[in-house]
Amino acid sequence: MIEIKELKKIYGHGKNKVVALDGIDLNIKPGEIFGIIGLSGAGKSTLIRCLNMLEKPTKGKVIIDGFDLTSLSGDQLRSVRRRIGMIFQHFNLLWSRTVADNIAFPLEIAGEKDKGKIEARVNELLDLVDLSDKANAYPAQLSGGQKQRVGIARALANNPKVLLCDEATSALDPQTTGSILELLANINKKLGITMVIITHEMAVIKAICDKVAVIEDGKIVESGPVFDLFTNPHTKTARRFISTINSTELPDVILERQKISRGHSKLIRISFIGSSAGEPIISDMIQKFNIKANILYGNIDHIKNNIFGTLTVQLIGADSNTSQALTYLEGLGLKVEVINVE
Amino acid sequence: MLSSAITQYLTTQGLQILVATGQTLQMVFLSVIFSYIFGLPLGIILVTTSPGHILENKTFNQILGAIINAARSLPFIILLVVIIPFTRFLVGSSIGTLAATVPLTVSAIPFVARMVETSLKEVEWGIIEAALAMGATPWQIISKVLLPESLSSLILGATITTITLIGYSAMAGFVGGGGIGDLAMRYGFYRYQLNILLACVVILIVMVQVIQMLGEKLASLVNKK
Ligand SMILES: Nc1ncnc2c1ncn2[C@@H]1O[C@H](COP(=O)(O)OP(=O)(O)O)[C@@H](O)[C@H]1O
Ligand SMILES: [Mg+2]
Repeated sequence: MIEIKELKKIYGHGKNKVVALDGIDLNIKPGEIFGIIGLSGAGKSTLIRCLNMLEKPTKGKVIIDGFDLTSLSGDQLRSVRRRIGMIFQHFNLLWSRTVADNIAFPLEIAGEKDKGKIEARVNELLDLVDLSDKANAYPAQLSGGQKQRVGIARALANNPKVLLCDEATSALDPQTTGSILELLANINKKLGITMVIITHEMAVIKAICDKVAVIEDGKIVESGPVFDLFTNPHTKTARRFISTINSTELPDVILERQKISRGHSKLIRISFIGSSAGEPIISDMIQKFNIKANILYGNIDHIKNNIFGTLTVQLIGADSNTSQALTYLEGLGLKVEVINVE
Repeated sequence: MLSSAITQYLTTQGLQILVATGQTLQMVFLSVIFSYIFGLPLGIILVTTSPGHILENKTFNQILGAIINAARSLPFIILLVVIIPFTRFLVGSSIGTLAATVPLTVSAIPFVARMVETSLKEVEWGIIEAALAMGATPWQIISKVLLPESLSSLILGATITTITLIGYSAMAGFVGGGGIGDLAMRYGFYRYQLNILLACVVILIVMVQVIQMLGEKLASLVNKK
């Protein structure tokens, strides 16, 4: 649905030159919710703005639904843009129009003249975003979450195939963020719209995205299914984003305790995915290798019904026995790390 | 006898003041309307052709800006005289209330253009961008975004323009335009009739106050922000 090829964007020239995007390649499938995460200044906004040509790329191609946007201009570009919805961090609603008239705005832009048709479509959308009671309110009278609902309804008015979201929840509190993400997920399921979600919050990616790309200094450093990123991150940046919501760091007290009782014990971290989470691995291991296991720390999480987690265990027993235990765990397909406490 | 003389005196004076008030209102409102007919599009062009805007055109923008600045730096009293041939061509005479409207309008056009420019610049860029992302044409952005979103500010600008023109209209006496200011000069200043001077000043003050009040009221009525 969206194909990005060797996309480059350079701002300014000479001494003020900023390479905001440095060769981006991405392929987003129809119906996918694709997240792009990165720190501030990484180039996220530039990337999403290049998707509807709000920013003209310096080089490369952006192909959406078969149209190469980089080759279009004037009326052709405008007509393609009408089929790409966009929502913004600061909502960007028209202050002078009521909620209903804000939602009617893109219909007017697309040249719809029939008042009855506009009204019917607006009512449908108000219902979809659950704002029917606010039809005649002005944006200034709405909360942030309600404003974003209007933004979403407005973006969907012309039945777009793609919805671009630039930090759509970054100005909202966590609870409101949750309800907006839920709404977006429902819309994706109901209407099958492809969504591109830009964010600096891992929680947003985890909550609704199918796939994710990590952007750093204008480059994609890692991308793939969200579940893979969480269970097997390759880059330091990805790990740091994950640690913002799933702490795998051991508390200091536990490390101190381990230092004291070192002698014949090992501290290990077991990462598990999916079904093995339900099996009695630890108790089997204890029986088989005649060791003691002291469970120190653990967490379990899920992304769209896939379970994953880590368990930090202190193994106490003869070195040969604990080593065999490690081999046994690895043999079961678990990822095992020995934690060095020094 | 005495009382009827006084009444007659008062009515002639009153009539003169009434006529002068009518002349001032006529000059001011005509010139406000005409200066917006030309100044509003100029202000829109100034904003939309500025760097990074929807109809960006650097050279054109700079030339237009320079012309407007030049026009604004011309003192009104000089414009009043210089423009006489043009006025005569336009209204058939260089003397009278209608004739005075021409220099008033011409001097107000660049002022209005800058006022409009300031108002339109207050519209958040994000809103314009949202419209662009929806595939809006430049004309749609002007008519459906820029103007409605800045309406309140435009009304306040028009209020200031109107009040400024009331001040300028006082000088219209030089081309026989009449009006309150002219009356105040002729009777109050040259003939030292303080009561007329006073009456004129009071009328001007009331006029300015009422326009300011109405302008602010209307502006806040349309302001939904
Ligand atoms: N209009 C612009 N002119 C010059 N530099 C810009 C412009 N927009 C963004 N940049 C620069 O490009 C880089 C990426 O910015 P941006 O895409 O906004 O990052 P993000 O959205 O990830 O915070 C930053 O270094 C920023 O300063
Ligand atoms: Mg950004």
